[in-house]
Amino acid sequence: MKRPIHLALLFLPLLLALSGCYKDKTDVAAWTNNPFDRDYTGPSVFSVDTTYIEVINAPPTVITRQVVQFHVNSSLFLANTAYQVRVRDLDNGQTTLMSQFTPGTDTWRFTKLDFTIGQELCLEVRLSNDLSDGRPDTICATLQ
Amino acid sequence: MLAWAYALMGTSAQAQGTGTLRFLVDPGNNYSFVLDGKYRMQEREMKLLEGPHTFTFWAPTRMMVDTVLRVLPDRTTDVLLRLPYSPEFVAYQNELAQVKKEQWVGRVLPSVVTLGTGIWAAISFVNYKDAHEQLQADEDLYNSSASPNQIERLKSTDLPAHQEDFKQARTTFAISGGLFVASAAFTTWSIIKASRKPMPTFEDKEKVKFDGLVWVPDRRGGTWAMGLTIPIR
Repeated sequence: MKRPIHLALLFLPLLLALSGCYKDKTDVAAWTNNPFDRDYTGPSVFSVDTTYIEVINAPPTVITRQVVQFHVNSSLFLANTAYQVRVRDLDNGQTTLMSQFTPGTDTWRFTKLDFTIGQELCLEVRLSNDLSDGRPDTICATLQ
Repeated sequence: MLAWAYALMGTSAQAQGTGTLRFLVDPGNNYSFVLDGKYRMQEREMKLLEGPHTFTFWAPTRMMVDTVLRVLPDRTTDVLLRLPYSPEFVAYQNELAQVKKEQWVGRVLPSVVTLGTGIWAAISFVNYKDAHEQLQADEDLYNSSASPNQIERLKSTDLPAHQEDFKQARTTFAISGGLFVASAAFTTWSIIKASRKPMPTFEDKEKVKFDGLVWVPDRRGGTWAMGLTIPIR
């Protein structure tokens, strides 16, 4: 009666092979490379390009405002996608949800009416989509 | 055969009347009888001298039945007779039924169990595969998502649940696969065991006794048949 045991042993490698076919290789702690993830730990997505004063002639008034131009490094995105940026002015606490000024570009402009020359302006910026925000970053610029 | 019987009985037949016996015997196709302890015959109807005659009826698998039939002159008498099954045949039938039942239990039942566990193992494997594909889909979603809320929900709720599902599916597959292998081995063993069991044989002792009652002529002149039982203790 050894033969049936041998026959059963033929199934065992198949069973073991099938059992080992699929493994849970997902390590959620290592999932930190998506810039839209609040746990994102990669390099900064935002960088300040420049800040300057913009004068808009709108008769009968003339508007003078500070522009903080910053850049989003979209090459860090894991997939090509549209996005928004939520900006909080750390000087006055006001929050603004900005959309891409020109679709397809990663250059953004934040404007502020009440500004002081020589004072550093810091902004808390986050990538945003579907009414939810990602990890906050802080960028600062000083108007000279 | 009848002519031969009449020749043997001929002398006294001239002084007596004759009657006819018509035999309606169960089983009707292969019974035999011995007339007056001398002549073995296979007839359905026969003419005999009037008066009592002893008959010993027998058929394969049946018991011998001894009876005396009175032949009435110038009349046809129907003889209704059902030969009972011999105890050896009844025991053989019971033993055969028991062996067939054991073979059924030894072959069909384990096969059904093996089939069931095989189906369960196959379904478990599909679930196991699906659970793994779900994990891959989660990873793909993380790599393609641009929604912070969706990513948060995926990492805190969906992925742990899917990982638990995968773990459970793997365990279920291991258990069902193990049971399938075990039942397949048992089924093979059981079928081999059942096929090796000898089938019961039937020895018709009544035939031996019946054959021993008379001399049976054959083409070479004839032979004596008899039954002998020696009890061995």
